[in-house]
Amino acid sequence: MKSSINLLQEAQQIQARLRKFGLLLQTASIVTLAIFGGFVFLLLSYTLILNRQQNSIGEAIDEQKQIVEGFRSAESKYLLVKQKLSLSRKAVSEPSIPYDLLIPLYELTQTQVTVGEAKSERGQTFVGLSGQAEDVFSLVQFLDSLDAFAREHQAVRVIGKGFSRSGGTGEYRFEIAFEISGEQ
Amino acid sequence: MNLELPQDVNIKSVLAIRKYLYLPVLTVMVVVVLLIAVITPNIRKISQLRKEVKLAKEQLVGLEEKSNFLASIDEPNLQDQLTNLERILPANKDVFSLLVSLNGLAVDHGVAVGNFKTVPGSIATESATASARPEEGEPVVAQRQESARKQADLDTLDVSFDLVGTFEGISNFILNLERLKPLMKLNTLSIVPAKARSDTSTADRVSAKVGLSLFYAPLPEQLGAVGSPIIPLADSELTLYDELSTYSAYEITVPTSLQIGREDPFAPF
Repeated sequence: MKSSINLLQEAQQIQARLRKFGLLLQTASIVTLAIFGGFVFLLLSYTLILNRQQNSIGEAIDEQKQIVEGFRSAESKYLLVKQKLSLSRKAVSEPSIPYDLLIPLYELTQTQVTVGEAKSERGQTFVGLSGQAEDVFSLVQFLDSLDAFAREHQAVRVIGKGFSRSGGTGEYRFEIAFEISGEQ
Repeated sequence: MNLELPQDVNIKSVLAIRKYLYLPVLTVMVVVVLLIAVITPNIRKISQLRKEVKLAKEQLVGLEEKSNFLASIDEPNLQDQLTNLERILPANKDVFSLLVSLNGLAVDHGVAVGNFKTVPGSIATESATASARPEEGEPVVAQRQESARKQADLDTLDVSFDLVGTFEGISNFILNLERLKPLMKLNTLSIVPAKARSDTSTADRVSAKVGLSLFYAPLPEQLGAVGSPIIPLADSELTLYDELSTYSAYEITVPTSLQIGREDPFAPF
């Protein structure tokens, strides 16, 4: 009799605990559902807001594009100006031949010797000079003045000399090349 | 000893507790379904949308800046600049304006220009060249890059001519040649005493053989996208424009009231 009473009491206690646990689970479930529901609601709302924002920005972009389309003529002219300036810079900065040295050099040679040809080509770093001198004195005088010219223009350096004496006339033919370093 | 359970504590009453488990199980199922079907895709979508909105905002700001900038452009002034630049760097092989400029410069410095030669070069139209035709299956991007490269290229027309005159005149002509409109660059220069080529010339006269490249830039075939940003002219570009504007230009002047003949040949004198 006593043991059955104990069993009954234990069973009732277990039943009470289980009921309590069950209630706790139900409450937690409701809370969890509410939290998840709220979270889902917030997510959906935020997605909706972002969608609306995207649509409104898209409309604003379309509107701005139409405005820009209205200025297409000015834009094309502006871009053309910019392109032409950019290419003009490229053209202006292309290396040229050293005519600013060739001309005074030619002028210098006229006093002592007879110049056959003074030549310079783009892409080469030298100017060539060929001619003839009446006698050895004028040739030496000319070479002295060439050295002075080279000292004056530090970029100029004599890199080649060739001389030959004409048997018939006794004239001295010469061919000289100057290197142009480009740093003056 | 009696081990029977009383009426209140039967198995049914214990199992009745399972009713408390329905809601938690349902909750777990709902949570799992929400996580898989709603929350995870939405978080991804939100992340994507945020990126798109950010990009769209940047694009909008760029477009607003562009439209404001374009609205502030003084179009008549821009047209003047373009006209001037067209004379500096023409869109085609403008041999006529080159001849006019060379003639004007020669007249200014008292030298004679002759033996003018030019090499026509390749035909500019893309359809004329077989290599320009796109091959089947050729990537479009490569074609666009090639097109963009061609647009950005600076073309040249090689020209050669002879000069005869005094040394001073020729040297002044040469010194001013690269400050002319249209832009050109000396390729070769050969100065020879005039008597070396012609015995009849006077001793102080020289002749020069000049080779130069005339620069020109073909017009772009397409304009950029509407949304592409526009970069204002830099100070260095404006300085360059001012400098280029000082280059000499010569024009053909045609008298407006040129009397060619009588309007009525039968009218009495």
